[in-house]
Amino acid sequence: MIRLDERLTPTRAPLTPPRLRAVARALRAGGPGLLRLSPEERIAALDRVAASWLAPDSAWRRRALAELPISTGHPPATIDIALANLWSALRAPHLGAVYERERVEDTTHALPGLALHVLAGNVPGVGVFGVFAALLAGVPSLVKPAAREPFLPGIIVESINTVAPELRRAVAVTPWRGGTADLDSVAVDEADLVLAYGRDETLDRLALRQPRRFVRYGERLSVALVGRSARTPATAAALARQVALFDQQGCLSPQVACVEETSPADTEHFAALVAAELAELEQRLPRATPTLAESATTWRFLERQRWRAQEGASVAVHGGHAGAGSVVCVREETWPMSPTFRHLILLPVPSLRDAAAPLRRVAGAVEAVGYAGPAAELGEAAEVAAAVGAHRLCPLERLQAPPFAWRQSGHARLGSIVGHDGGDAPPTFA
Amino acid sequence: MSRPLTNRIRTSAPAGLARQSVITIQPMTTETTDEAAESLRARVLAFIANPSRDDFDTLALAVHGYQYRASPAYRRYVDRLDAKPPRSWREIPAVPAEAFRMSVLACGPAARVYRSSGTTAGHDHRAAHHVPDVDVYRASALAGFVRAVLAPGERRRFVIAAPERGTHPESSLGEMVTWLRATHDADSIPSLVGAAGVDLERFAYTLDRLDQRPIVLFAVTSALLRLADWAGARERHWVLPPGSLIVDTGGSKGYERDVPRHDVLATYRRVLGTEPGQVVNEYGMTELASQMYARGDGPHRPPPWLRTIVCDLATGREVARGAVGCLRFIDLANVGSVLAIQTEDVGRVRDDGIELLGRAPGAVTRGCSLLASEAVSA
Repeated sequence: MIRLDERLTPTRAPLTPPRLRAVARALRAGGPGLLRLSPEERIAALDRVAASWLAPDSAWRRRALAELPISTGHPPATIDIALANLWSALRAPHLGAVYERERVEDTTHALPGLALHVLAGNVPGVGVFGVFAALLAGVPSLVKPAAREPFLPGIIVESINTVAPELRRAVAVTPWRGGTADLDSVAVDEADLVLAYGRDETLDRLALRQPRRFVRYGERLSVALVGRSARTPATAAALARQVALFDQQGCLSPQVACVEETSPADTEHFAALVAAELAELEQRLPRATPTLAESATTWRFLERQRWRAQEGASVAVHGGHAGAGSVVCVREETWPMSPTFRHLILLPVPSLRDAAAPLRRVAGAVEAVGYAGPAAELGEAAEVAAAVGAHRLCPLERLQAPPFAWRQSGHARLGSIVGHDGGDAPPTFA
Repeated sequence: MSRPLTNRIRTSAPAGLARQSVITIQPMTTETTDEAAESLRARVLAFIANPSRDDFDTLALAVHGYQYRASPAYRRYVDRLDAKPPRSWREIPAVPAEAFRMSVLACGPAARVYRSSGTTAGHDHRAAHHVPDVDVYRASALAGFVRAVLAPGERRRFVIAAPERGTHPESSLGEMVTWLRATHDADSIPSLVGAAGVDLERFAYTLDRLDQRPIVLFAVTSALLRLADWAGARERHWVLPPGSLIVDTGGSKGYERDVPRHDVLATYRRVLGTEPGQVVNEYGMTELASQMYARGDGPHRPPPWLRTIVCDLATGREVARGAVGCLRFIDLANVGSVLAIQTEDVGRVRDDGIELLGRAPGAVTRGCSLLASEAVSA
């Protein structure tokens, strides 16, 4: 007979459908125990976990900093930023504010007995908000980590078991290769709710299994808006940092920046500043070693734009030498798409409000808008964000440090767990 | 008297001035260009005929200098790079193959314009190779074939399932096949590939009627794979006459799926009864006047007038011997267009040849990031 704790402990033994089913049912059985904790107790327990990661001598963070550079290819400095952003957002005041805002106890829906979280590996910590939201709502969680990044979820669950033992029977990590039909089937069948992150083809494959409730966090991108008075070296540095973090592989990574123009020379100067910052960041936050396909994609993109510029097109390429990131300033109606991996498309616009027109091409796919400019023009930025269907408007430098309250892919944080998502909402400034 | 062909001369500057400067000579007049072009063309043709009579490095640098002066688009490219003048063929600036889709890269009026098939970037974005000197292309194609397939003057019956000039006038492969037929074909069986594609019924009919004289079956690989599918569905197969050769080209392009080379060879064995040693693969591209050949599962070997560098596209530098990278070609037979071309074809050095590993795939973003090109709604 398998002891409960053993069932919830990740092992190196091959995961079989019966074993996965046993883990799922053990978690479901732990649900009432989780709900016996008051919301304040759950918040306090989760806060202890976050605090244990933020402590200067955190053993969890030390382990993550040792293991994640191997699995993600990102340097420890990038991992450190990701962890700091993640855990700072999961402190008690933020958890409490969302709990209060979304009024979970008022729901008329039955709480799910088990949530399945299917994580992606593009940015360290993607999906952890969802796991914490589920635990905060009182819903046990089965976590399937990404194949390419299985370590962080495992360390997090270990930290929960150690620091918040009252939650230990409410969450487990079970790695398996996505697309393994019998395991996918058992996991989806056992869960009342599936929260899935990743490429659309991954999500579509899961949707075919007809989860009882399915919350998709699919493929998206972010944009930056830079007001005329904000075209400073500090803004250039902030923009470059947001481009460089996670090599533009996150849905909060800016791929396009609309910059309010005074004169073409000033705009090109700003583009050059951003490119210089990107080159400098290669030292402090070096990119993950690209695959051959990634190298070829970015090379093709850059060479094409450089050649077009050489032959007279209204395009200027700044940077991009020896594998560094670039800024491609485009003055054409049809602008090229970023190949990601630290290549930013810069579109000059007469005014911030005019950014909505060129961004129409990516409307509906924009997750967040990062804004740099005077507070007085925030309204214009909000109009643009709403026009492109963004879910979040934030200071540029906070783009990749989202708050727990962020309506990720348009889903209310706790509402999506308990079943009242709230429908469409304007972008929140957070 | 012909002018020196070095287009940029590095000079030592007097103390106190810049350490080095690069003097860019004005583009040559048409008359001088023609003179230089004729001289170089003659040298390249002589090199193709007898590689021991000249030095590749010297000749490559001379061709580069000429192209810098005679090709406006190439000159703009080299000037943009702002690099030191090349000291060896390895340092000659290579244009991205993509440039052939955007600019005319030629040192003079084109006698022929060859266009790619459009399978990579679509019909409206086909690469165009403007070739002022078709005689050099012809010499290179025929000499390369002689080095790898048939001896000079040898004629065999050709069965062709590939484009020819008549049906595919813009195809560089079609041009080459037409020259090969004229030079080496002992018969005149019409090509089994027409404007509408491969005629499989006629292909089978032709193979059914072969006698015991060895043939050269020159085909695009996709045509042979389609023949294999067609034959498999009808439980048909053939055994080519003893001593026959298959020369295939094009890889899986135009076929439904990628087929690894060893599977292609196994398919030929099953359907046509050939051993791997009877199969020669030709690698060429619209933008190159020279070709590489590989026998069986061996590496591709370029002729002496074509050299290859395996590069890391991220850095532009040559990778360690045996490491995988993208192929850069320096082709003297491209004397009238661009000598050095950086491709996205992937390979590595093996046994003093090049092992081809396909074309660099497009990168796939990870997780919930969205490649903006997939997001566009317009």
